[in-house]
Amino acid sequence: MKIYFERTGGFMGRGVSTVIDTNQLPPEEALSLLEKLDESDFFCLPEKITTGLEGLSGADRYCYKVTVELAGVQRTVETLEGDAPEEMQPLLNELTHLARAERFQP
Amino acid sequence: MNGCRSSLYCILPPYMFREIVENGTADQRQQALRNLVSVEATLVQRDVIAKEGPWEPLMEAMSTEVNRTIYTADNSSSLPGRQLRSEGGPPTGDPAADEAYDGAGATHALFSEIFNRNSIDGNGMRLDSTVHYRTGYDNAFWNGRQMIYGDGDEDLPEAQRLFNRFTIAVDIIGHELTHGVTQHTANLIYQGQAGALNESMSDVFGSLVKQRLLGHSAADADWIIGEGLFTSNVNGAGIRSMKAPGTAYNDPVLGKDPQPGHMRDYVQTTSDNGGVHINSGIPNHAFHVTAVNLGGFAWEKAGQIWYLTLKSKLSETADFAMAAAKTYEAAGELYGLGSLEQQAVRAGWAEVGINIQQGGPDPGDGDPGDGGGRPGCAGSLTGLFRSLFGPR
Repeated sequence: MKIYFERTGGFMGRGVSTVIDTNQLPPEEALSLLEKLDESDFFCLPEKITTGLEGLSGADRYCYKVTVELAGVQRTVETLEGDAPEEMQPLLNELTHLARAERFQP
Repeated sequence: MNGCRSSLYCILPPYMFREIVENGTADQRQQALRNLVSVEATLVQRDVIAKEGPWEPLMEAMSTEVNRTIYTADNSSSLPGRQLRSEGGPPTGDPAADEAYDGAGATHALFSEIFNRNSIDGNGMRLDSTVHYRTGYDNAFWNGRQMIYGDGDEDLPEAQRLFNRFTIAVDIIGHELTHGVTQHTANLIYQGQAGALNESMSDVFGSLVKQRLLGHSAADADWIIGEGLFTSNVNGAGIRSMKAPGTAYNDPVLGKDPQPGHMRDYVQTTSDNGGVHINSGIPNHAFHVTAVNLGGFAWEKAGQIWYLTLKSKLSETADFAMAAAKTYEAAGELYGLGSLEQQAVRAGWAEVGINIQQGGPDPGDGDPGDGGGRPGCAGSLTGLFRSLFGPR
């Protein structure tokens, strides 16, 4: 399974991104990621999640874009900070952590 | 007659009250004594006010009181979270919470004391801030109702940390709160040039909060947004520079500051809502140039012009050319048509390649010397202005 993750926006307007092939990860990490993906019910989520606050868009919020490729099926979900359902937060946290750590890899 | 201390005594002279006390009926004596006591109390009150200023209750009735509440998300994404401090409460000892409290107060004071605005909505809206939002959260944002701050990179090994907590820089707090002010005034949409103006307004007033706290004139200020936010692992002074867009940082991990300072370098992108944090460098620099040319403290004139424009003149979809035209118009209203202040605004926008002409603004074609078909006009306007005002 491949996961394409991109975080843009925020106070600085600079993004982080990463591409993850679960086949390349240590088994424990791959399992952790798959469990978070499952918890988020990813393939049932709408393509754009923008619940917002009474229609208010706010400012300096991060925008998250996650694309998952699995068994020939591809799905992309985009959401703004604070709009993602609670079940999706662990997945976003994990992907963000991996993308931030990747900045320091050669 | 001498010894008439005040017009109160002089309306009914003291000797008359004494006559009544000595010779009047019991009721008349009572009333005269009450009047004497009342007058004396009023005179004492006047003496106190003359010496010490208005009494506290009177001051409170006249002031626009700030009302702050600070919460912690306890490293979750739940908002607003658990309350840590309310208005008037003692410092918590939590640096992020106390910085959010103090920074919100300083921002409220700028808008209240300088621009006569009572809080975000102009109507005393409570200022809610949440700190310790999520874990490893390197951001601050306005969600439409409140300010939210992360702790930076505390979850990473020290050698990989790029960001400190986001309450560490007061201009960041001012920036976020100003997004609320914009929402309640021009409500600039968060896309393209309108979005970049939205971002610029937050940098402008966030910077004014910092400059006012430090007592810096426009000439003394560093015009850096987010100074102190980066850890020592980062090669950079701050997040953005209003004085020199594109120079705030240049780091092997973070990259280079992407901001342009002139229309010729305007960034066409779909990322970041059309580059709202990138192209804000252009109106930022226009404000900086205007403020420096006007001299003194930046909030005194340039700030007044920009605030009037934000409050009353911009539409939701305003672009840079419209902002230039409206700040020029605002300067004319505040300081007179053809005034030096108005000319300073023209020079500020000309410096970034946007020329304000009679009959409408000309966004220019990026040529630094462009003046609507008159080469060198933009540059000569700035030079003329500097020669009039001289170094500050």
